[in-house]
Amino acid sequence: MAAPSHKPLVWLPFAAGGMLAAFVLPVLILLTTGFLFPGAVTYDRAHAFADNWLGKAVLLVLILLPMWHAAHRLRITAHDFGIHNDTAVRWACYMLAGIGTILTVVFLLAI
Amino acid sequence: MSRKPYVREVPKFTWWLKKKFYTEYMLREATCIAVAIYSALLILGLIRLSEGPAEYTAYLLAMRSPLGIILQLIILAFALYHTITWFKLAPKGMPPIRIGDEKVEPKMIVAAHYAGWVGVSLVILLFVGLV
Repeated sequence: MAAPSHKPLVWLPFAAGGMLAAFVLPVLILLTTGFLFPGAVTYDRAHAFADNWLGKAVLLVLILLPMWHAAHRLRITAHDFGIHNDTAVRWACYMLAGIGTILTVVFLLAI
Repeated sequence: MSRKPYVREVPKFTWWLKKKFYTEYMLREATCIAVAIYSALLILGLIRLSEGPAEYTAYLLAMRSPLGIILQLIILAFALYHTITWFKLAPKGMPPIRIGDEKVEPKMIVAAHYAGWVGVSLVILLFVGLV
């Protein structure tokens, strides 16, 4: 039998993050630029959204899934940009995403 | 291995500019850089939000400064390209779907994604506008 592969482990966040990014990033950018509802993400409203568990969970998913999607895609694409050392690329991409994950969790809990 | 293996000359860094198909592929893959930068911007916003009103307001002003807007417009262009290419590939990435005996056409699956996208965007805007 083949050794267990870690591929499902990276594929799930890749697919889920890619889907989430495709569906919500454009409208999210319209909000953070202030092009639509400029008052929607001011301090009071953003803080009220993030100070309960539901809001924290939404922000966690919204920030982390697209980020892990990006990390995985960047790792795979590095090869096409002429960088062939996958071990180094893998470490760099996933470590950055790991740092982003820790920061997100820590500061969500701090709000 | 033959004694004189044929090695095709491929420019190391610019090969993807030679053909439109390759360029589109690389643009699609490069959308991840924009997604990563935007994730970093959001995490920065989260850090500022935890620090207090003055810090967060300064962050929001920076996001809406000319430089912040230009950066986010570039990110938006890549985000839209990601959305379009993601939906285009969606039927190829999922098992065949049947309704009764009929196989659902790939273009119907793509259309369903676009409909879902519009729906999700409207729900988010409604939530933001009403709550």
